[in-house]
Amino acid sequence: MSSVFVTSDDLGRYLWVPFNLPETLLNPGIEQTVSMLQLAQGQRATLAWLSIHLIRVLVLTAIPVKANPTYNSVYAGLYGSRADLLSGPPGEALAYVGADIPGTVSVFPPAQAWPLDQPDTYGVFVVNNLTNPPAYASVSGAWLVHL
Amino acid sequence: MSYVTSSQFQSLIPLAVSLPLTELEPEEWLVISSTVLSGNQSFSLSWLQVNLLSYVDTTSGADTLNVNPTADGVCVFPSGSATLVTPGYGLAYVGLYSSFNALVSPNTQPAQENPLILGTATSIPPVFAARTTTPAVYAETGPYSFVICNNTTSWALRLTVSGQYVVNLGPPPS
Repeated sequence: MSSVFVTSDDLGRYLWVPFNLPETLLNPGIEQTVSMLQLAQGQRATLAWLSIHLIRVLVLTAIPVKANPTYNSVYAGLYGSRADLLSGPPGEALAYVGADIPGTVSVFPPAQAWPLDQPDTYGVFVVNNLTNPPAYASVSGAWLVHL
Repeated sequence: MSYVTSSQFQSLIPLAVSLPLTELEPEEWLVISSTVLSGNQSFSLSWLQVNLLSYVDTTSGADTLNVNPTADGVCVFPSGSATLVTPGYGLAYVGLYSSFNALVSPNTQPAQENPLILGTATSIPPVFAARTTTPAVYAETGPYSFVICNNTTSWALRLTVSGQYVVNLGPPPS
């Protein structure tokens, strides 16, 4: 911003875009699109907040195994347009927040709010990273778009 | 009038409490939005609304009702009455909970403030309720969840929820 105080011009150029996925059943290995944002040339944005609530996991019939051991059992990730959305979990996230224990709420550390300054289509996806079983989760977050 | 600095502006993050039209089965509940506070963070809640568009009486075996006009051409709907799980909590309610346990009914867990109550046992859709109390600030660290609960024993409710809370990454306002 151009000054210490927010001016009316600033208010016109900054736009908060909240998003929220209420409690949703996530099947194993499937991603669910939560929010997408397309940035044009010259526009910038920040993923200012991203939280996930792993609400519960359906009955365990075996010890759960992660499809991708790098990530949590269930996670919400930020992806650019290179994300692979056709063949299951969409690859490497630019940033993510996840949870392993049912009942846990995790938040993307605000100190690491993720700046986006390249023209692209960005998406937040929530992924059940377990090979079994299904899980229920909710996701909340907000983009700050710099018009 | 006070001014807002750019750092304050970017520290106030609005988050949504948004439930698209959803059919909630009798005595079921659903987490709409959750967040977790740490350190000096706080959030304020000032906007919360819930709409009941229609319901299905699951005991009737049909989701339509034939109503024939009287001789005067007036349609008289039956005076439906729901059986409530928790008397006084309406057909449904939206509550804000700390450390919510999704495996246990919300009516056995303490809400952070009085729940937003939708209608009564005899209400006929559409029914609307809005939070009218003054904005409240919550600053205790830990997880918080907005939860909607169907408080009837036999009506499946078709509901939407809209709301917003603002997370403040800095210390709570004095």
